[in-house]
Formats: sequence, structure tokens, C-alpha cells
Amino acid sequence: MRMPHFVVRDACTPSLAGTTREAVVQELVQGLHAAGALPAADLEDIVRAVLRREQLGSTGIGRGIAIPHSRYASVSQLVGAVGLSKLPGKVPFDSIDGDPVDIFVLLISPQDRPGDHLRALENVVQTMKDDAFTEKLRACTTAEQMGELIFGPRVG
Amino acid sequence: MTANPDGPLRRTVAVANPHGLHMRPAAAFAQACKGFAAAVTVRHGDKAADGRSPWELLLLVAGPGAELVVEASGADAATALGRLCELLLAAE
Repeated sequence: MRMPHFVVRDACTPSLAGTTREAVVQELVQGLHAAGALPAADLEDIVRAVLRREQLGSTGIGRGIAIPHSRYASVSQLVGAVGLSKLPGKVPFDSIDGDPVDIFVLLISPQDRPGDHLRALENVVQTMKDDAFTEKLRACTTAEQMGELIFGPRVG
Repeated sequence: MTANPDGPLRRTVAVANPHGLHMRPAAAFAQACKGFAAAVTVRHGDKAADGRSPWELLLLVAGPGAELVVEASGADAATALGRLCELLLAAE
């Protein structure tokens, strides 16, 4: 389960407007909806579920990266969105290293596929361990650039 | 628990969490490790993680029921091993 398998290409956002964890999660979920990956009727519930998960412990895993996530019954496959914050102070996220966050990978998983969720987390962590990759990702200023970095050139 | 005068204390446990060693239990495990002086390594098959690193623990991809080998070495290794295995054996 590699990032191109679950990240929705049209849900990549190079410059999130949100200044808080709540606002950023809202934008990322909205991005998945705009890309056709989540139904409108579920958006509020999904945002609430992701923020509830954050209350149990921040998903800010350090080095400016957070992986907010939740399981949600009505999704049939794991979907993800990637967002960047270009705000000078980044976004406070209560991360394990205390640093604010500028790279967000939102994951929404079906309830009954713990294996997919673990493999997706592993792939995000593996990808984000690569400083050369995160440097290129942070430098992206358009969704197209983010898409090319994560997925390669768009075909067709 | 295996006591080896030349090496770390070692114990094999199966991950009891129904979602496996996902982010929250991995973070809790890493945090617990920091409370001990012992060096802790967690192995899953041919992969190994520093117990204090949530990043490395997530790279183990340890699903529900996965058998992990926990190794601890240092002054409080026995206490650490007991506590850390308890965490992996907890269903929540």
C-alpha cells in the first residue's frame, strides 16, 4: 500500500489556509470531498471523528509532519489527502517533538481493514523519513507539482 | 523471558490490539520506553525498531496477532521488559 495507491491526486493542497488543527483537518476532508472521494453527507462526521482521534493523542509525529486519521464506516477503501502549510509559523499540532506542522497526510480508512491502515502508515512514515523527498514536497507551490512528486507525471 | 548473561533480556509477545501496532499504541510504547534507562529493540520478522522511536515502530507493520520480539538491555531491563510487554498485550 504505497502513497499513490491511497492518496487522491486531486486532494493535494499546496497552501492550506488553516491556522489551527481543526481548520486544517476541515480543509483536508473538504479536499477529499471536492475530489469526489467522500460524500457530502459524511463530512461533518468525518471531521469530528478525526478530531476525536486527535484528542486521544496528537498524530503529529515530529519533524513537521502529522498524519491525522480516522476509521469511518461508510468509506469502502482507504483514501488520503496531502496538504502543506506555507504559513511562517506553520500550524501548532501538539506534536511529539513540540514542533509545529507544515506537512499533513490525512488518512480515512474503512473500519475493517487494519492491515491496509498499518501499511499506509508505514508507507507515509517511510516516505517522510527521506529528507530529500520532504524538501521537494515543501518546495511545491502547486497541486500539479505535488502530484508529480507523489505520483509521477500525469498520464493522458 | 530469556536471560542471557551476554545479551539482552528477550520476550516474544503477540500484539493484542485488534488494529495492530498502529500510531497510538506505537506512541504509547515509545513514550513508555523513555521512562527506562534500558535500550529497547523490537523485532518483527527481519525488521527491527528502536523502542523509543514511533517512526521505527510503525515501520514494523505489526498487525493484530503479530509476534514481536522485545529485547531490553541495561540496568532496569527486566522491569522495562515486563511493562512494555504488558502494553503490547493490552487490547486497547
